[in-house]
Amino acid sequence: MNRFCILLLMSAFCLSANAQTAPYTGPTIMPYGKVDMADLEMKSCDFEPNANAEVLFDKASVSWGGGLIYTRHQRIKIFTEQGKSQANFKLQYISYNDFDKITSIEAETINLNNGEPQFFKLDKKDFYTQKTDIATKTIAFSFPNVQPGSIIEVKYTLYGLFVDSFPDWYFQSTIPTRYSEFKNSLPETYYFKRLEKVDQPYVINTDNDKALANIPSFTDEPFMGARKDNLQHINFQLASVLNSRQELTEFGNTWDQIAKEEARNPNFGQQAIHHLAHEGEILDKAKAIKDTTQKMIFLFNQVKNTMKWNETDEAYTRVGTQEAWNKKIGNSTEINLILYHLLDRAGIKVFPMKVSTRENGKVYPGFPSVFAFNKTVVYKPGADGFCLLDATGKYNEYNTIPANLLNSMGFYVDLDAEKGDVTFLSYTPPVRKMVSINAEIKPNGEMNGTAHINSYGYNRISAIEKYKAIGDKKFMEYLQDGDNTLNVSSLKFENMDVDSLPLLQVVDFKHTLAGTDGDYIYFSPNLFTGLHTNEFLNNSRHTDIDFGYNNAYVINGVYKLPAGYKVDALPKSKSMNMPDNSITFKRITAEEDGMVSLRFTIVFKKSVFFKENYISFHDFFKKMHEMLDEQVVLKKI
Amino acid sequence: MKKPLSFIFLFIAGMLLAPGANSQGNIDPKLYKASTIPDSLKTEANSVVRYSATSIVEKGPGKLVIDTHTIVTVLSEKGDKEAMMVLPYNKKYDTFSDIVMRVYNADGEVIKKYHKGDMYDGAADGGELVTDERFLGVRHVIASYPCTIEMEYEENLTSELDLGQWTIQKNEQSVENAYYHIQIDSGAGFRYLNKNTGIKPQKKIIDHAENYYWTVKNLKAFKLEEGAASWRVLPHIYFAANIFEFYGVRGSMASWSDFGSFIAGLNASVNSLSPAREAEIRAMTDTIKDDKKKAEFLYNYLQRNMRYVSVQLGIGGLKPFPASFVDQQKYGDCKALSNYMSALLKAVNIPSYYAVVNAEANMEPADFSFPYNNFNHVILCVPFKGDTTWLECTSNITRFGKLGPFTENRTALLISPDGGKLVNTPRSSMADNQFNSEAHIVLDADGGAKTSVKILATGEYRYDYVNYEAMKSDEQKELYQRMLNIKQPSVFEVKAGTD
Repeated sequence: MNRFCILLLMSAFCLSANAQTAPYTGPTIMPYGKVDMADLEMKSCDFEPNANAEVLFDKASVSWGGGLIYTRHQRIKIFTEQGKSQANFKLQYISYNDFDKITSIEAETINLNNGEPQFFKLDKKDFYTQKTDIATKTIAFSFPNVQPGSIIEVKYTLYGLFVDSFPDWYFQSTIPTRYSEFKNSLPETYYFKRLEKVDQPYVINTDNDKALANIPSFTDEPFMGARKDNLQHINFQLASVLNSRQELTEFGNTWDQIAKEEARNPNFGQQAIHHLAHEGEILDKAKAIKDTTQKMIFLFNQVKNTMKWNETDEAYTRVGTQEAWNKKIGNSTEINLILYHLLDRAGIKVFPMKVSTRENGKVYPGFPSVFAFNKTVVYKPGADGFCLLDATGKYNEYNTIPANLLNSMGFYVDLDAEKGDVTFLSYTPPVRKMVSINAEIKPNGEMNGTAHINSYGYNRISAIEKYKAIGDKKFMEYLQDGDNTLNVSSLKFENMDVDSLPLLQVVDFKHTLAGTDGDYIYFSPNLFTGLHTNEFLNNSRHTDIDFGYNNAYVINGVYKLPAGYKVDALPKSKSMNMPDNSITFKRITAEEDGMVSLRFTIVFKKSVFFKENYISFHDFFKKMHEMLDEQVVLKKI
Repeated sequence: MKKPLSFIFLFIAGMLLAPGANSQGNIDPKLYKASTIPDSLKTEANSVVRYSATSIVEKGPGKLVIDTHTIVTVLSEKGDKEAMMVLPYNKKYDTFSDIVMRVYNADGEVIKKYHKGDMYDGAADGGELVTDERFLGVRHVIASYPCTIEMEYEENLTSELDLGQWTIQKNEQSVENAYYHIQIDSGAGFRYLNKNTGIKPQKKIIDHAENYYWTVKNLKAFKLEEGAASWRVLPHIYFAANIFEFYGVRGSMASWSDFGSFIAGLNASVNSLSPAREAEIRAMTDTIKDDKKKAEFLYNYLQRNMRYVSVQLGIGGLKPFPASFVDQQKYGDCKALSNYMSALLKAVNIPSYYAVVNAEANMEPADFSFPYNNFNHVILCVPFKGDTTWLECTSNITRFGKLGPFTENRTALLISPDGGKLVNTPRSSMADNQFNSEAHIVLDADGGAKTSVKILATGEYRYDYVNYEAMKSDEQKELYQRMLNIKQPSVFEVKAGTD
């Protein structure tokens, strides 16, 4: 599984790097102010007919003139009323110490008027420049005379002081794009490496010029990972500079190179060395513990319970480990570098590990980059697998990788050796949730019963986090899942404070069975499972599905029938599997001595499902939900 | 505070305030210690106002110096926003000085201090494209509870319509000691309006200045019931005077009529189109005989051609962009679009009133007896004989003459050259907001079924469905299945009917 996923990540990188070029004869860029009548007359996007607006073209080019010169030219066609919102523009740029400057900007609306193009140019005064804060400025403007059918176009030049200002290029956006091009005209002395995440063939594909055509619009999908990973784009990173004396300077091109820089970084490696006030007292206690694992757990809990996370994930320290320690509050890098420091001083072999949360996006092993990360954790290698410690979450466990780091890479840094490497973070054992229901059905269609819900691992953590966040009353409502015929009368937790045991919720409930008419009683066994909603109703899918870990459900229900009733229809015992056995579903039903029992077992053996295989996944989920919801029918004798 | 007069005021104010505290900051040190909070004030509270003192000195119409000093103990994470200081300001007319925020641990020891230099200085962003308004902000992240936050600052305001309001208590917050003081010239016509409270001030006249002192002690916390509007429940007091100065323009708030005249004055220079454009508009409508039909035609013209863009510039965001600007640029905010619609109607000799209102669902209506600026939106009122029609000019979807929950069933101030008049906006009827669904199901022998569902929606429901029509087809299908709880079908088609 691990190996497979790594291969997969690598292939995403390589595949696009070798992407083919497709012949394209459609429209590309037009000079500013020149318009094609066909575009003005166009009524809808030809590859996405119900789009509200379409980017006709979007081109950026980068060149050098004592600084980085970035020119962008965009033209958008508006089709509908809703598409008009495209005509409000905000350009934000770094104004701190005049880092960046917008040196020229022009914009206009083009309408079709009696078969002729009519131009409405924005005046200088129509661009409002605003100081957003100390570091950024915004130019805001609104296009005049925008109607369905209008074309709007804007062209501007941004002058950046540093070559770092070199932007990433996103071909795709929330509306469809007919043509998108990025051209690099920097002198060859600046060498940029590229990470290309492109799903369709290029129409131009040279080293310095890349273009795509007919790019569909993008919308967020459930379980998709970071949006910026899923939009078709190119990441650029300065790899080397050749100066006039023909000396080559390289920047972080291997993980070891980056490790060396990070080890020496005053806001990273150097922070891990700082002495912490009164650390001796804690270390003395730790040293009294013989067992290494127990020692590690002790220090982990010390840091986890005394430090408060300021809910900020950052790749570097902000106030530093010492101040964070004194104030008992810090960002994720501060807290976990403190943890690293204490573990290291206690003689446990650990490394700080730079990671990227799910929201921040994936780390690509073949594209070493110091910018990929937004958090630090502690990595403890071991003969039988590694531990990943994150003391920022109050319910985190020392032996559980935080869920939002799964299926990505972590980069550990050996501060002494100034070396480092990436490793894949995954969790493959089943993460269980067991629901067991014992209920009695009354002749009037009332069901009274008790549910025991056992949650393990990630399910345990997420249930506790939810409960702590919303409290008793709201949690009971959450268990009712919007079903106003279901009433939770009491809720008890067990093992909430014992990491090593599953969280047990004991739920007493009353359920009014709808449709009871004196002759028939109907009920669905899909109670307290958390599986009421099928997240995958959409017939199509544009991003891979990433659950993070492998869920495993066992749902057991035993229902006592009311006197004078017999089973009229009982769902059949049945099982089904995904073609590759990545998900298995089993339903076993039985009837005996006035009792009905239903048992569902759902086991995921994979946590990532590719968009290419979505059809079978979608069908499986549809059938699975049908079978979960299938009703039992009781009839009066 | 250099003049002897101020000194006397401080002295007397000090005597009037509670023994535990006076306005010079000699505060009972107990108030910094969380352990001294009475148990009765902890029940249902996320935070406790240990001490709050505000002193407002009016230096002339629209000119206020406001000193604020608060000590609030945060008991749990739900009270965390009390550790955030946000001061909206405006470079020209509203500045802050002597800002300090101190953070204390449970024992009352200072653990952190913030000053102006630590604050984020940003452009306000409430979804506008452009605005002049800015804010200073700083947030302390609380490491352990209870934690006490002290804030002090002085605000110097030189442009204001009224004297603001005192929010005495927030949801799930108790108040141990709170003091409010206003000093204002005797001739200024000072008045106040209590909401959900019966407290009365002590009044002292010192050197032609009226001084009002309010004191609040030991208010217990309570939690708003679900769906309750806070303005109906929480205690607050509004303050106003007769004359104000706003962005350098004098005005009167002595009556609704006067305040209406002020707004009419701002609009006077911008509410007409050129004679040539007026003639064109007359030509567009001259085949329509009925005035109401004419108005409907022009409203549809506005909806088809103009779009709403929030641009809050110029006189405090109160003066509309000229009708001619909207006519050329084809966009504007609520003021500009309402003013433009009014200009269109004027061109065909239909009178209409620009109407200011406090918008959003279930917002507090302006009070007939208490002129005060509690408005945030503009609509248009067209007084046809016996058939007053209201127009929401920022929407491309709303039907002619319909308002909806954003502005219905409250008060609005009609603006005319003769002054303002506060009136009620209409409320919608049941028939205005209908959701009708009709399902036909044909069952198959094998347990399957073919279903066709027809949905007819008016009012807010219609509004929703018009918006769903703009979605991508697959997402629209998914939304309908989820929202209408449709059992996942094998085949699903959605067709739009006529609107």
